[in-house]
Amino acid sequence: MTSSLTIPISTSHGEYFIKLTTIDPLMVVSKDDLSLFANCTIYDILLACKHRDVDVDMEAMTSISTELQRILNVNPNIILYFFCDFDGKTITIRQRDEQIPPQEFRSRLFSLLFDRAVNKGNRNKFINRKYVVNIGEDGDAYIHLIFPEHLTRHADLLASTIESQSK
Amino acid sequence: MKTMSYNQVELFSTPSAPVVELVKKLRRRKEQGLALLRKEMEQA
Repeated sequence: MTSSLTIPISTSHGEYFIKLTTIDPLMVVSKDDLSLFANCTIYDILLACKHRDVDVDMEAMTSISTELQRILNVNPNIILYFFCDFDGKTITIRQRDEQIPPQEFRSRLFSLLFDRAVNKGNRNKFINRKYVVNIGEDGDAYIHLIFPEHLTRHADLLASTIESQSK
Repeated sequence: MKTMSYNQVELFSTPSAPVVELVKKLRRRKEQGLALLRKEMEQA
C-alpha cells in the first residue's frame, strides 16, 4: 500500500510543490530481503512549480533544500529516490546551460539542493548516489538515491536487486 | 579520517537491454506522476 504527502512551498516568486510517495519495497526487493526494509521507507520525490514560466531562484532553492533537510532529519530511516525528468519545457532557457540536457541540469540542481541541505548541519551524514544510465537515442537518464550512511546496505541492495531483476 | 564520498556516481554507459527498459519505465512513471501533481496544483 502506498501513501503520499504533498508539501506546498510559497516564495515571493511562485508556488512550488514537493510530493513524496512511498514505494512498496516488494516492488524492488525479494521477499527474502524484505525484513531488512521493515524499518526503512523509500520515497519517490516529485518537485514542480505551479507556474511554468517561473525560474527556480535562490529563494526557492533555499526553501526547497530547507524542506528536504527537515524531511531527512525527522525521518532517519528513509531513502529518497529522485528520477530526473527529461522535459525541457518546464525549465526556462536562461535558467540552464543549453549545452546540457534538461535531465542533467535537474541532476545538478538536485545535487546542489542536497549539498545545501547537507551543509546545514548534516555534513557527513547523508549520501547522494547518482546513477547515470545511457538509454540510447534519448541520451542519459539521471537517477538519485539519497540516504543516511547507516542505510548504505539497503541502497546497495536496491540497486543490485533492480539490476538482477532486469536480466 | 573518513574517506567515504558523500556524492557518489555510478555510470552505466552500456547497460543491458532490460536495464534500459526498466529506466524507460521509471521515466514514464515520473512523467505520469508529474502530470498528476500538476493537476493537483491547479486544483489547490
